Amino acid sequence: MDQPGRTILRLLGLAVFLSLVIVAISFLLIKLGNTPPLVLLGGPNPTPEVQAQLVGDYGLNQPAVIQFLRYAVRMLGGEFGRSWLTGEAVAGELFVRLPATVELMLYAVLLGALIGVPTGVAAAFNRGSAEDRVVRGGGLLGEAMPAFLLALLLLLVFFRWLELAPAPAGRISVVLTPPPTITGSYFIDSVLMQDSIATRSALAQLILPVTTLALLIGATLTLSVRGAILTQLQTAHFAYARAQGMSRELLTVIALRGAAPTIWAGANRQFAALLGTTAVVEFVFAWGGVGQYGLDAMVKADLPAVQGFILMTGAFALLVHALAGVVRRIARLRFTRA
Amino acid sequence: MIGRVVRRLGSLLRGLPRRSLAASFGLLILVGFAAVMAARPIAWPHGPAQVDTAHILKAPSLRHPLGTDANGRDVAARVMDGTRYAFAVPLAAVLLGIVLGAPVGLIAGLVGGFADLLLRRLIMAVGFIPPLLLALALVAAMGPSLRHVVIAIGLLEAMFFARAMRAEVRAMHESGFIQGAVAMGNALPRLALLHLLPNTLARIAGEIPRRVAWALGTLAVMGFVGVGTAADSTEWGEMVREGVALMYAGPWWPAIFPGLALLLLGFGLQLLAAGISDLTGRRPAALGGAMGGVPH
Repeated sequence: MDQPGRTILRLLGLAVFLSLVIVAISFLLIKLGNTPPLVLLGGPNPTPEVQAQLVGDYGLNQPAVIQFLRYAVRMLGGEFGRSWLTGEAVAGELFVRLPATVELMLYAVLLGALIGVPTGVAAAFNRGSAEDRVVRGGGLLGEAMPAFLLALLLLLVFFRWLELAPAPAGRISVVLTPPPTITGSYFIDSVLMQDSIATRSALAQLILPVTTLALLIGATLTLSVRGAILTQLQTAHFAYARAQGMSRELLTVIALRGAAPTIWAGANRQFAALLGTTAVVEFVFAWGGVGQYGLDAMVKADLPAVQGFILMTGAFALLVHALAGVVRRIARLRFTRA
Repeated sequence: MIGRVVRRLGSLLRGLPRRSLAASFGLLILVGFAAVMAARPIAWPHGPAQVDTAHILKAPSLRHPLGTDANGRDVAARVMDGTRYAFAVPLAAVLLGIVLGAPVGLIAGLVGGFADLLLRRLIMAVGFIPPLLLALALVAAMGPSLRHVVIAIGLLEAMFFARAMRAEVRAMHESGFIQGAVAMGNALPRLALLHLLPNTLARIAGEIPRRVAWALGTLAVMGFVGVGTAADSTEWGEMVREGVALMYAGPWWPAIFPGLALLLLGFGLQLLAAGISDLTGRRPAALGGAMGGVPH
């Protein structure tokens, strides 16, 4: 084993490199566009003074490498530039929308785990049974399911036909005033304000988007849990545990503990993709989160907003990956000490 | 030679239902879509652009089994016509991905050292950006056109194939295959082209259905969001987008049927991919559905 100090330095170096690549990708996005930057920044007919100022501000007369470095410094400093359409600072626009996205993802991941883990375990323990086939078929169907179609099917049934769910128009009924920002979650904030009408509305708005996302997460998770548990069932230590006549519950715990690193790594790998799926779900439900902002910006070719959005999702996924790595290391330490 | 290939393919297909039911069903769905696409111009009474002013937004009936859209066009004919996009764009993108990505992965795996490390770290870094969103952003930056859609999806597929190819070549290093071939006196270019490429491509080919499924899903999201595909085309995602506002008002068939076609074709691809994994005993390198993407 190498010293922890060197490991940390190596990981930090890797993190810096990864961040720079992500910044470079977002930088390239604007370079790909075929509109001259002066037109994009200064409107169709910029005056010479405006042109000169823009060239100075953005270093447009400098080589691409220098432009990139200036860009990287600005981005890493959290200055994402201004939207071409609204003129608002992109970083601020993204920041105010972050709680909406985090809230949606948090509930969906929890519910998705509640769906995915038990069904995956049950399917693996009854491999080949009718139950297993239904779970596996459902999992594959979920993998093939476009997020927007599932959202629309749920809306058709529960909003249009049964009229149980509210219209897909954001996070709270349009006739209500959103609660004052405490945590940024309309649901939690209205509970804290003891506003039962707002609470009920915020909760109702959450149900369909969370269900959509949770079903998609659950489908992917079911298949990966099933696969990981199946591998565990073939190990010698599991055969020994079974031969000892342990109860089904204990056997499940043993298999799950062995499968946990695989499941954890798999879930971790899927996180970036989950951000993409979340954006689509937000788009359908007009959720007003980061994802919807990003997709709207793409439709309107508002490139500074697209850049900021891509940068932010990349950084977010990188951060979650790093945190997951820390959790994994701590867990391994605990297991080896125990 | 061709006769032998056809005979081998025939015996493979005959034995398939016994060996993998999933793969057979998947293949059946793909063949079904291809057949419908080919037969539509001669066998279907309505054209995709044919306007029937007497039947605007009519619910599914015998005359129009999937109903008509807001312009009085037959939804069934349009869904069948959209199969062209669903086959052509993902296949072109995956092909582009193999052509761009496989050589890079092959060389990196063969050369090893710093080039290999750099490639791995680059792919890892890009993998943190949600692949679906990156593909959409690329199209948004390049401007809307079908060619840009293929390029954007193809670039992300290239990352996948570079990574997969590199892993295969490294596995061959470990098995001693490469050392053996070098000891036999093969120069590196000859080794790469004659020995590594055929052996690795065959293994990578098993991933194609899953990658096509990912490309299909990404194309549909582009259409649904309204990035890249032309307005009023019969691309399924685009058809769903145009149908959504109608669905909230009542007529659901213009939005839901193209979506179901997408689901069915995607499910067929996933079944085929799962069947191939079962047959070859290889675990998939990455999941490829709505949640799937380029792994890091």
